[in-house]
Amino acid sequence: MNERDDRRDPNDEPRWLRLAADLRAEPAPGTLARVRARLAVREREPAWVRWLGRPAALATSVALLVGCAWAGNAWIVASAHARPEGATLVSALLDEDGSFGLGLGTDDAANTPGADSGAVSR
Amino acid sequence: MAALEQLLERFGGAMATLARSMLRDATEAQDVVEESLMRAHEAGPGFRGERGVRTWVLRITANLCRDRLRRRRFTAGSLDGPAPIEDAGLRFDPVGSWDERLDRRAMAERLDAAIARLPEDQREVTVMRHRLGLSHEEMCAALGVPLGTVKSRLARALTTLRQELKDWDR
Repeated sequence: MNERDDRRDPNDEPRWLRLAADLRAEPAPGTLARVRARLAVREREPAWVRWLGRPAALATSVALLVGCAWAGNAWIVASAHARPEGATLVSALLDEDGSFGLGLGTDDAANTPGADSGAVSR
Repeated sequence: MAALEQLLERFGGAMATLARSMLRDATEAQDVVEESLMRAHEAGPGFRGERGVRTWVLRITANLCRDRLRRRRFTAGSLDGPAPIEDAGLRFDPVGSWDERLDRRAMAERLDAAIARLPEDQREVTVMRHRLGLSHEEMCAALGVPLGTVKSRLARALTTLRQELKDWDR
């Protein structure tokens, strides 16, 4: 890096900008004690609880979600290809006897005219 | 734990100044300082010393400040204006000589209010450069951005500050 980059040019930066350095802050008293106490609490936590608080936990859950979505999609596509043609649930029911699985096509007695119409059969 | 004490002693002031200048809230800034020290302590064994300890701890602090500011956007609306220096937890501590005829404290407060109104990225570089005295190289390392970005942010910040405090340039 060029040293000249860091030189402040008095023509470039106004003198009043130096006043920015007049405002400072110090950590509150007892900071060290509080940090030590917080560290002690954190060290007592199980490692996996600590890990959940890290950004890596969010990244891992997103990766798992994407992975599951991809695997689920791949499984659905694969199982759709594996089925014989026309083997969907509806077509299976229709192809069997055209009765939607109610068994109406095979019941001859039910087709007898007047079975439940009150007509007299001869 | 002795390392923790040294970190606080050597860099606690810079960390607190950065956090309070960015967050404008003494309580939240104190929490960020403590969290930064904890993270530095925990990450200490992995520190390789490539860019210096000061840059490293300030990077941790700056990242935590950014997280807090991002969270604020979701939890609270924008403030009416920047908090005064007392609320921010900043202390007037004159550095170097100045024209005694001028009210230095009032000017410093006005400048601070103007800095506090800058966008986050410009405020960050302004505080690091002009309040903490970091070099461009140190700022690049602390912020994880290229030199050109640091310079352009500083230039934009200076243009805004000049505009806001144009009566001082006369």
